Amino acid sequence: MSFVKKNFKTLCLIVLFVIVFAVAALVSVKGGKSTFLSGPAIRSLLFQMSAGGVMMVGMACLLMSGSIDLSTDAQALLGIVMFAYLVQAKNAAGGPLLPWGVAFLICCVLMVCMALLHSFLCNKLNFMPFIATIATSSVYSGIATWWSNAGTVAINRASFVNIGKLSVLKIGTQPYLPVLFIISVAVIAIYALMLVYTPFGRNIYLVGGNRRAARLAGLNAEKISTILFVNNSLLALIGGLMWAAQKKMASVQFSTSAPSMSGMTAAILGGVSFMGGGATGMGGAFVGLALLNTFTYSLNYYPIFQGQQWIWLQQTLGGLILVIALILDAVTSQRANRQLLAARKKAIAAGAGSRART
Amino acid sequence: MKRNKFEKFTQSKMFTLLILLLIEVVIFTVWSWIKQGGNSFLTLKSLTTVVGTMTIPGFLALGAAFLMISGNMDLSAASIGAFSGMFIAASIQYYHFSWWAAILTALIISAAFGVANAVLVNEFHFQPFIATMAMSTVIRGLLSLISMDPKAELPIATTITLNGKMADWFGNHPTDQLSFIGKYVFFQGKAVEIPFNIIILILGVVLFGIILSKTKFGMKVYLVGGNPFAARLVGVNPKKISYILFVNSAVTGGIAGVFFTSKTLQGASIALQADMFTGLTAAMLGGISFGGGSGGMGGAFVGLLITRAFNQGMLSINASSFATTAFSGVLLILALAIDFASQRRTVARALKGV
Repeated sequence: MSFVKKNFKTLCLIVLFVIVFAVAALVSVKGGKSTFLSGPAIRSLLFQMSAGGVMMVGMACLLMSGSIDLSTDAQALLGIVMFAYLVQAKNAAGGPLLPWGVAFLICCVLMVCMALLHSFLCNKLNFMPFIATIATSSVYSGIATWWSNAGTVAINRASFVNIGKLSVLKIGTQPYLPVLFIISVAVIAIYALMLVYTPFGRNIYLVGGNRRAARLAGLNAEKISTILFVNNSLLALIGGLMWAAQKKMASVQFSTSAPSMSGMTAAILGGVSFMGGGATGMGGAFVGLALLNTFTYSLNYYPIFQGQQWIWLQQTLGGLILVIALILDAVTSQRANRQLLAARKKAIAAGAGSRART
Repeated sequence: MKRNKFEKFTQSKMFTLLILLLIEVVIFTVWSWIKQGGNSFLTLKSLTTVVGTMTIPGFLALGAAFLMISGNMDLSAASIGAFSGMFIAASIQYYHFSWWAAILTALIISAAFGVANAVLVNEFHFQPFIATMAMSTVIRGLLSLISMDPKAELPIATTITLNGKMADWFGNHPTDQLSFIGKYVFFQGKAVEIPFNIIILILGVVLFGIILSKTKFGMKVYLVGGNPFAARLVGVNPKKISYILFVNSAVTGGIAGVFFTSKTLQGASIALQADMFTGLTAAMLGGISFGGGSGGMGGAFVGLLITRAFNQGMLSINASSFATTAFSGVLLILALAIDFASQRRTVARALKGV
């Protein structure tokens, strides 16, 4: 019982997810076969989730510490554009100049530099993270657009692109589980464990809940914030590369889909509070991510949405499901508050009674 | 006493902003002189252009500034603007609305969106960031709905272009009035051209500035932003103020949309898409802090002037649009850094005084 009560919200999200999934599977039945439950459909859904999932983790950690990085998409874009150029560079003999692992490491250095800049602006100059990262975001996306000539840079290194194609486990003849998704889930799981079981993880919550109290308790809030900025930037690069591996290119299209924004939305939906602290960890955020992605993706499989005239409804529903989930959250947290109040009143009454007796 | 006032002014945020504006003007004048072999920035014409592009972000900033002072924010204002612009175009094109009916209905719908935002934030206790972002998605969806031509086979229209031949119910041409709002210029061809819409913006800024600094309501807005609990204890209703400000932000967003459509004579589904943070940024540049409770209208206006003059300056030196994007970010960081430095100086001076 207490487990249900504790995780009421996450359970609600899971139920909602199951409903969304089941409805999509049922309405897409065509000639006795569900087109939604086929290998390719599931695979492309999981592909969509994998890049968003990795980027969500970094963002969720930042949110928990009471900070934010709105330039995540722009950073990832700049990272993959640089990666694409490095990977495509030819040496004198016409062969590839660098192995892609080395290119990745060079990009990591760039990401760390950007993260350190954010940390400097927010911690040393006391800028609000929100505004500082909006500012740097336009710097990065300006550079990335200029560098890629506002177009695409193709990546055709087989050893890198093949990772994007790899899938295992089969439905019928088609494999459906992309390796990228397994990586993404592994990352989420590692961070979930880290948040709960290591002192560092708990310190993140503490800094987010009350920065001053954290400092008084001997925590170095600046250091934690710096680590989280670096962490977010590196995860953004990895998420961006997952996208690039699937699409075989680096392109400004990446930031139009705004994966970090949807990752942030998923995290908040899963119970990570925007103002720091927050009770839920990565598990709720993951369920939120699955729910949002499945919902928007499954709309493509509804027969009634096939006509072009229903595009507006798809867009509107995408926003509405968020509103509905948040209302759910508001109602449950109000209920929890009422229960707490009732318990406190009871305790006070009991206390008063015992005092009267003595 | 007089000197004291002057000293106070030199330490204010406004002073920093004005200095920044001055530096910017000097840099671009010199730069464009070197590059073009003559002054092409510091001319009355480019001044008019700078001012002419301020209307839309200006109105977005008006709404955003009030909300931010009260400790809230609204990311959906730009979407509401796009919606209202599209609504005006669609209602005139498909349903033969008169110009006043179209604008009035668009603003009423905008206000309704504002109420929806306020309900989500006040009744369901959503974080304003996420509530207004969700609303913004919903509104963009509804925008595609109203952009559809009810009579056409393939109803999707990403843009609706109004032509002068369109007649309303009474046989008038609504585009006449719309192009007056968007394009009419006083003293056409004279040394100083004053666009009609700028007069409206300046009236708006003055009106909002007076409300904020001189009326009881304005004081309540600051109070709610500074400390909502204290505000309630002294008898201010924070909820009521929040409702008014969300509606206000939505309506000013709607007005921005009116100007978009009347300037371009188009309703576009991608209108104001890049303006999600424009209002917020201008307000912040002007010294309105995120937590609420501080800042004013004049600063926000000068902040806007700085960003617009910067864009025009980049144009006058033929910089690419990517460079403009990149350096506008640098400008913002610079402005924040100057603010940081001046604040620290003030604090140091105050400490010395003790």
